[in-house]
Amino acid sequence: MMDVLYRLLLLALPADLRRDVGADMAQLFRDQCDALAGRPLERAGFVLSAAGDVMAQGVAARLPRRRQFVVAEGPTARSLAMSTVRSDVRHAVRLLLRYPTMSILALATLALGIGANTAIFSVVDAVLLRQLPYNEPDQLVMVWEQRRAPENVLKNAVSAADFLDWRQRQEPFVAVAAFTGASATLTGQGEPRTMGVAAVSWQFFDILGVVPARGRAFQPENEVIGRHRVLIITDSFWRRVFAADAGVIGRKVDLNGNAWEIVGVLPPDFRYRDQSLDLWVPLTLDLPNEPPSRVSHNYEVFARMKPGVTLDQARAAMDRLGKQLEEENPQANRGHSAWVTSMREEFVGPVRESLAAIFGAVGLVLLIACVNVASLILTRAASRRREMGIRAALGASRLRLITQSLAESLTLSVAGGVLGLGVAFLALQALPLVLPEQVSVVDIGSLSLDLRMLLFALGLSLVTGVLFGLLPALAVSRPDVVDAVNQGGRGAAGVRRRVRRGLVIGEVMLATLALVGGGLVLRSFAALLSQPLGFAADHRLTTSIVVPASRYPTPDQRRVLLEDIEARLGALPGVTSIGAVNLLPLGGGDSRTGIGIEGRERKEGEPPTRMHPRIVTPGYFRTMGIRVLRGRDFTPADAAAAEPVVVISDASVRRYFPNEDPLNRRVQFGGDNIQRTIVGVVDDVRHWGLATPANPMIYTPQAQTSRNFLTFVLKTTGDPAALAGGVRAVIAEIDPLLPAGELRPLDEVVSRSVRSQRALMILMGAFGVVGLLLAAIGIYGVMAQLVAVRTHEIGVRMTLGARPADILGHFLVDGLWQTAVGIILGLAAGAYLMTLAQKLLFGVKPWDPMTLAAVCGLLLIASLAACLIPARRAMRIDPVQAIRQ
Amino acid sequence: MASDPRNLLPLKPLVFQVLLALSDSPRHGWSLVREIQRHTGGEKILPANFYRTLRAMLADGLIEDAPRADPARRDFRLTALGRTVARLEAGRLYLLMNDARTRRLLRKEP
Repeated sequence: MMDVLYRLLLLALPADLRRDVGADMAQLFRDQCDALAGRPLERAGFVLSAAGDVMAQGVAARLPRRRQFVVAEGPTARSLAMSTVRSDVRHAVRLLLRYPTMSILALATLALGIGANTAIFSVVDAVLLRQLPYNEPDQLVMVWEQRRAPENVLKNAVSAADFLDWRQRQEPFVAVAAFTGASATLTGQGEPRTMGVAAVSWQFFDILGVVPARGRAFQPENEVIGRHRVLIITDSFWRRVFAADAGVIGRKVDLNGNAWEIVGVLPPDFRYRDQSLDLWVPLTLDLPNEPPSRVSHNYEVFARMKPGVTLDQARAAMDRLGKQLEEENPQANRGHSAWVTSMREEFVGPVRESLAAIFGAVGLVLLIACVNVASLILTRAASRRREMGIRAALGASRLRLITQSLAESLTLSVAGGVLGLGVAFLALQALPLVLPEQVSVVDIGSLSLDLRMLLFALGLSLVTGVLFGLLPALAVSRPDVVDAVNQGGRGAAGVRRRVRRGLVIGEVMLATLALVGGGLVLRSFAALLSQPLGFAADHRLTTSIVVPASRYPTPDQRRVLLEDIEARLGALPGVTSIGAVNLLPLGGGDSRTGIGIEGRERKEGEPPTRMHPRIVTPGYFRTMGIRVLRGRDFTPADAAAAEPVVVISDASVRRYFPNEDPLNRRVQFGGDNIQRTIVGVVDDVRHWGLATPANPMIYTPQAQTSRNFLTFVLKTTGDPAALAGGVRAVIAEIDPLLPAGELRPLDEVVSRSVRSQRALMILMGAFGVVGLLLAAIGIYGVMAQLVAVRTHEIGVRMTLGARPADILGHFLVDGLWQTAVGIILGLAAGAYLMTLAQKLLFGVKPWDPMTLAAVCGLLLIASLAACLIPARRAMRIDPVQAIRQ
Repeated sequence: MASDPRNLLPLKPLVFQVLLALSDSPRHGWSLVREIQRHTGGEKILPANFYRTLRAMLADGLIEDAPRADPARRDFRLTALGRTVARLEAGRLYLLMNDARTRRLLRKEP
């Protein structure tokens, strides 16, 4: 990437120099960049100074050669040079003030471009460029269960038994730890509430290299039942709930009705993927009368590689261990092995493409802004040809003319950069509205302008200043003295007209690129939203209830309580129907279990039957609007003592009963020996997101498989949020110590599930539109200038018999063919770039004809509008006046 | 070409470093950079500045093209003038160092 940019920059050098040593220079640049790989800040500094160096040498190489090695510049020469610079800048400022409209336009364009780039850079920098905020993060990995064909899963959650075996027998790691998310009820600290809790094996924090700011991390004995009720809290929880009480260590907190002792407070800069996890507890896997399971897969596994061990070595070692475990446990582990991935890849990989695309789009906007400003300066330079000519005639050297012109563009760009920092500051405040609150481990709300961003904005200003200043500078510094002084700029030289055409084409191309990106992402989002959810989301309110086992010790008590809650919530005014499920679609969390089908033997090499179990109440399908395709829904008659029944989803039928009737077949869950009869088939429901195909599901009635955790769904006729007060009151009335979980309308749950795609769409779309507007302004400016410069010529033509319509047509055709060339180049480049970023697209091909056609149409209309105004002005020129001019 | 080599003094540090690096054998550009960085503790060298300096040194007759070992790479070697200029610069620096020593800015053996 840097390499390509550097090669582009080399175009600033004279052709012979480039041919001679260009490849060597690129090589030297690359090697030195590589040498700085681990130090991004130094590397950025080197890249910036190397870019400035190319620009400076590009200018210097075009000047008559002076003695290189003689130190000619004594103190007087130096102070002379400084005063020249000062007078150049003063001159530039005076010029900017003399054309205020143009200067304001240019400044606003630059400020927008630089500001938006700086703001997006802050995200890219924090997420992609910086290391994960852990000790020696390159040694951190995640270990997954890998499943070979026919299942072909590379990264599956790990079973407790496998994790314990890995921990005991692995060789490549310093330590291994397991993680799982859960929720628990916190009481005794204000209103009871449901909290996200992370359960981790004892070495988790040691592996990350995170040392609690107060107290201690977990000890091995904390994994033993009886010694496990210890708690580590985050800094923000400590401040929020305990008002940063220094004596918090040793205090007890009531979780799920049990007292847990706080043993540690995490440091304030501790970051994890899920920042909402405030409570960290030890994971207890070795239970006294329950052997660790090898069939239920619930854990994410983290590890730190021993110094000197590479990822490939760790992979090979864990693969060997995985195969040993497979041999030892042929039933549960058939086809299983282990797969090691870098933690950085796990945390950053999923967002890399999106961020790169957004950064690319915002970069395009800046480039378009540069082209605009370059063409503005060129326009003004044309009107100053006479001045330049006179100055050259009076003996000003070419260097003086170039430096002065560059001083002007740099003054403009640095001023734009300063304003851009203001824009960046505002944009940073607005970013959390668009982006998800957390990207990878970075809290978007906490981003602020720091030194790196200041440097970035400064570097960007300088580069843009040189970028849009060099072309006009070179163009104006070569005036044909006699011609310039005589004509005073009339009939704008053909060379410059060609340069300006090039600018229009380039601008249209860049805008097309930005629009193709934005358009494709927009179409993807529309395709995503049109995916069938499998349920209706409007007019429905959800709330989760966790029943503490400490106060409701038997399953029967818990079941009765949940049934009571359901009945009372269902009786609230406005509620037309109610149901409950243990895991709400799109709500995160999942489980999967092996299923035995009566009368069916598993053949060798055949993948095991696995479904995703859900526990629901009889009203659930009706309330969610999930269609019953065959058989029947659950009814209250499916009680604890009645015949055990299940309902399966359409995906389960397609996968496991492709050519037979599943109704009345009997199935058995892995781990229990109850035969359950299939009584119905329901429509598929998206659980992991709109882009993820529906999994095979199996539903059991709550009465027959009681749990202590349910999410209730209430269907209403009115605004679901209006029910919240009533729901809280009912729950407080039943048991004041019971927390009502977060009350969320179901459509909000759905919209949260697509928020990262929405952010991508909003940003890419916005940058596309801004690019289009800037390009239209740019085309307008160039065309208007062409008309102004050719007034004389138009007058002559009209006197010779050209009709106004001919003149109009001439300018429209002139403008539109440039647009057409730009569009064709842009479409090709845009579609090609998007094939590289196909991961971002859903349901749309990079060559989507609809999008490409729409982009074409939009640009043609915009450029038509931009050409029409100057062309009409040309048409109305009074020939007599024009010739006399 | 300068008539009196003394007119070229003092040399820019990079020019002197290139002359030193070429004093034992001809080298191509990249190997020159490596050699210079080896002696200066890995100081970063800006490519465009470096190659322009080489061109200027060619024009001044301090270095010249050497027969190429690798057809893709341009090799350079010292000219007689280059060697003279390097020696003069070294002498100039030596006198300066001596001066610094007599004024006790440096210990005897640096």
